[in-house]
Amino acid sequence: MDFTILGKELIKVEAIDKVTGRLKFSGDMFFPNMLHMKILRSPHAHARVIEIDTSKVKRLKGVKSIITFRDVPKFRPMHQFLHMPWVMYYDSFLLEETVRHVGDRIAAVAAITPDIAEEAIELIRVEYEGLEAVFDPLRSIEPGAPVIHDFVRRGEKRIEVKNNIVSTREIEIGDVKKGFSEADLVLENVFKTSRPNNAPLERSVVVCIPETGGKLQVYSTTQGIHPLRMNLASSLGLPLHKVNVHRSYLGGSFGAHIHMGFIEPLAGFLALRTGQPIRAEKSREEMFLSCGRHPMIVRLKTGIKRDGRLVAQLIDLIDDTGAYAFSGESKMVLAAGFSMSMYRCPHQKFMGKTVYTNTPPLTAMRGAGNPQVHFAVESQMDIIAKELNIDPIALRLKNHIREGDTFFGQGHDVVCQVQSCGTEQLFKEGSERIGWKNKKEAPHRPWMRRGIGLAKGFHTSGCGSPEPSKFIMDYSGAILKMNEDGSISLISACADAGGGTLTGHAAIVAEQLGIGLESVSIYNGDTETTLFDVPTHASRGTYGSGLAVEAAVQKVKETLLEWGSRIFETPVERLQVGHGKVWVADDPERCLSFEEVSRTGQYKGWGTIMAEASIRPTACPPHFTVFFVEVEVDTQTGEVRVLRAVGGADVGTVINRPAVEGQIAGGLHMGLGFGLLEDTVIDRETGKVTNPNFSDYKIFTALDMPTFEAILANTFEPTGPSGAKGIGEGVTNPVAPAVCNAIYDAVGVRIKELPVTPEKILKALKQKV
Amino acid sequence: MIVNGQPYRLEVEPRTTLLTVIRHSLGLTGTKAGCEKGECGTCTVIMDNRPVNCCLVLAVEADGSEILTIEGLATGEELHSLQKSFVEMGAIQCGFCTPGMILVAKALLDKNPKPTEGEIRQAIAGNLCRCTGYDKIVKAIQKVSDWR
Repeated sequence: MDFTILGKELIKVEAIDKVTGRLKFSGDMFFPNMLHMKILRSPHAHARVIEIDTSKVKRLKGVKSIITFRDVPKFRPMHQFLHMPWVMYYDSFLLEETVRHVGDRIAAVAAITPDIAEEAIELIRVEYEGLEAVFDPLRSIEPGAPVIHDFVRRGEKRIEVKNNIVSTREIEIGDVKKGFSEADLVLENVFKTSRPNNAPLERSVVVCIPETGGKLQVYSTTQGIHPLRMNLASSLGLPLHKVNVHRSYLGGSFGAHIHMGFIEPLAGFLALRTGQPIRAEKSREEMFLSCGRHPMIVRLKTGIKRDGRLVAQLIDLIDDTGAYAFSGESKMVLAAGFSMSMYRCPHQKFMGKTVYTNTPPLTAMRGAGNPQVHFAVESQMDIIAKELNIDPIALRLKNHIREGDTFFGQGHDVVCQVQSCGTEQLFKEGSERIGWKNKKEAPHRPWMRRGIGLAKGFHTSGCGSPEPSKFIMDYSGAILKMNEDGSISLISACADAGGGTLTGHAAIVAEQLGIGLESVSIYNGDTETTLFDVPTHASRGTYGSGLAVEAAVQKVKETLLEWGSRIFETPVERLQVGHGKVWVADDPERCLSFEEVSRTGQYKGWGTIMAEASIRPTACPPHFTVFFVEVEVDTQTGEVRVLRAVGGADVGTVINRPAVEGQIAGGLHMGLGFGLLEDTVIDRETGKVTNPNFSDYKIFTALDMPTFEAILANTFEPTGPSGAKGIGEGVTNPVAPAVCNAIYDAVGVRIKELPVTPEKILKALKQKV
Repeated sequence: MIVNGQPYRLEVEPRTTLLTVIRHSLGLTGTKAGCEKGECGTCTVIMDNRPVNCCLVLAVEADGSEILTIEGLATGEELHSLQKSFVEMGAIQCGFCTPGMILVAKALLDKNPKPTEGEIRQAIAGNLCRCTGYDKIVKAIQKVSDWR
C-alpha cells in the first residue's frame, strides 16, 4: 500500500519538548503546600507487628500526618489493571500488620520536605514477632511451609490459600499421551528464569491534590489513567467521579506501571486526611521492591517425529509472584496461551501454578510470561535440531505458526486466527545479514570462541478476540476535534511510555485526512475529558488504541462530507474527502479546504466537527520477530561478549520507521540483560534484595551493546489500523534464548538457568571436560 | 553561581544537592532524577565545562561555578545541533535519559569534535538508557560530529 506519511522517518510530536527539557513528566509537577510521603518498610521477610510507637514522630517539626496499619481502611484495594473486578485477587491492605517481605509497608508519614519525612520514618519504633519465611517457590508449595496468606479475596469470594498457591491451571489440546506415543524422539528439560527489574529510568511518582468535596486530582506514572482511576477510587471507597487522573508521557515503563502500586492509594488517603497535595516518589531501591518479571520454572517435554515435526508438548510451570499477586494469576495463564502458540503442535498440555513467596511482589515486565516460555521452548528447539541433525532455521520453519493457524493472545481465552506472518522473510534476510551459512570465523585467540545463535519470537497485539474475554477488558476510545483552522486535536487516554504510540496515532489521522503531521495536536487529557482506554500493555498501543483513532477519523470524514454536501448543495455520493480538502468528484474545481468547511460551519452555526469512537478489537494478531546474535566466549573467565546482532520484526504496516527500529534495538538491549546480566538477587537467609541499585544490578551500557542491524518484514495486517500490528514485546522475547543458542554454538555448553553468568559457563565447561 | 547564563544567589543547607537546587529551587525540571546515587546519569549537567552527575554534587560546591542544564542549550527556538540530531535521528524514546545524554555528548564534542564510535560509547557509558539500546543515540552524536 502507498502511504504519504506512514512508514517514513517521522519526528515524534513531543520530541522537541524532550530535547529541551520542557516536557513535564509526572515527577516534574510541583504544587503549592505540597507534602511529601515516605513509607516505613519492614526489615523482616515475615513478621507480625506487636507494638508500634509513633510518639517521637509527632513531636518532629514539619510532620503533618502519620498513619499506621491501624489507621487505614479495613478493606483490600484493587491493584490489577484491566481485569474484571470479580477475577482480581485482593490480598493486601494499604499498610500491613503482618509483613510478608523485606520492604513491606507498615506506616506512612507526610511532611513538608522529603528529608523530614525520612527522618520521621526513622523515629518510629516497631516491635516485631518474627515468623518463618520462605523464598523458594518449590519449598513454598511443600506441606508444612510457612503460611504467607491464610485467605485472600477473589472478587467478592473468600478463597482459602492452600500451600501458598494463588491459582492452578490445566489446559489440554488434543491428547498429549497419544502425541508422545507417536513421537520418534522425546526430550525433557527444566529451564529456570530470573527476576529482572523493569527499571524504567523514571521512578514511580504520584501527586494527589485534594479539592472541595473530597475530590482528588491525580498525576501519576501509569500505563492507564482510567484503570488507575478505577482502582484508586475503589481502594479509597470513593465514587469514580471523585478521582480525576491526568495523563503524562512516561519515562519508560515496560510493565512497571501496569497495576496500581501502594504509593498511589496511600498518597490519596493522606491527601484527603491532610487536605494538602501529597507527593510520593519511589526511591530506586523501592522500585526494586515493587516490580519485576516473575521467575518461572518451566519443565518442558517435547515429542518430535524424525522429520522434525512437533507432535506433543507438555509444560509444567511454577510461577513466583512474590508476596502479593499484583498480576493475579495472569502471568501464568498468559504463559499457558503463549506456550501453546510457539509452534504448530497437535497435542499440547499445560499445567501451571502461581505461588506466593516472602519476596517483593512482582508484575508484568515486557512480555508478561512470554520471555520465560520463549527461553524454554527456543532453547529446546536448538537441542532438538542438534539431536535430529536438522538446521535450526529449517526446524523452526517446519513448525512455525503462520497464516490460518490459531493464536492465543492472552491466555486461552483470547484467540484469533493468524492473518499475517513475516517469519520466513525475516529468517531469510536475517541469516544472510549475519552470515548463517558460512559462520565460524577462526578465533583470534584459541581460548576465545565465537558462535552464532538465533531464536524466533512473537508477542500478541492486544487482547482482542471475536468474543469478549471473560477476564480481560480490551477496548479503547478516541476523540477527534477539528479546529476551525482545519487542524485536529486528538484527545485520548492512551499512554505513551516512549514507544511513540501517540505520534503513531497522529500519523494515522494525518495520513487518512491528507494533512500534515504538524496539523494534528495531542492533548494530554485526563479521565474526565477522555474516553475509557485500557492501559497501554500487551503491545496494543498502536494496534488497539490505533483502531479507535482510525474509527474516529472515519466519522470526521463523514461529517466533512455531510457539511460539504450542504455547502456544494450536492449529494454526499458525489463528494470526495482527502488531501486536506472536500471536493466534487466529477467537478474538482469545486473544492474547499478543511478550514473553509469548518469555518463555514462555524459562521452558519452548525457546530464543531468532532467525532468519538470506542472500539473493541476482535483479533490479537501476533507480531513475529527473529533474532540472530554472535557472541564471543572467553573459556578462561566464562565472560560472554555479544559482538553482532540482527533483529527482525514483522509489524504489519510500519507507521514510523525509526520508532520501530528503536523498539527492536531496545528489545535487544533488555533481552540481552535478561540473558546475561539482570537478576534481582534475594538473600537466601534474610530475604533482603541485595542489589537494589544500578551499581549492583547491572544493565547494559553503550559499551556493552553489539553492532546492530534491524530488518522489517513486508506484511499487512488486515485487522490492524492501516495494516499495522504491535512491536513492543516480541522484540525482547526471543533474545535470551538466541544468546544461549549462540553460547552453545561457541563452546558446546547448554545453560538452562538465567542469567548466564560467567560462573555458570565455567562450571558447565568444567563438567563438559 | 551562574546557571544557563543567569546569575543566582541562593542560601542552601549544607546537605542540599545541586540536583535539588536545580530542580526545586530553580524549577529547571529538565534535569532528571533517576536514582539520586550517581548511577544512572539522568541528572547530568555541565559544570565548569565538565559533565557531572549533579545528584552527587553538594550545592555549596557549586558556589561560583558556571552550570549548563538542558534548558540552556538551545538559543531561543533555535535548537543546538545535538538536539536537532537527536530529534531527526529518532534517538529519543521515553526521553528521560535524553537531557543527560545530550549534555554528556556536548561535553565530549567540545573537547573532541571528531570522536570515534568507541570514544562516543565511552563518553556515554555512565548514562543509562532503558529504551533505545543506545544505537540511535550513538548515531545521532556521530552525525553532529560529521556536520562539524
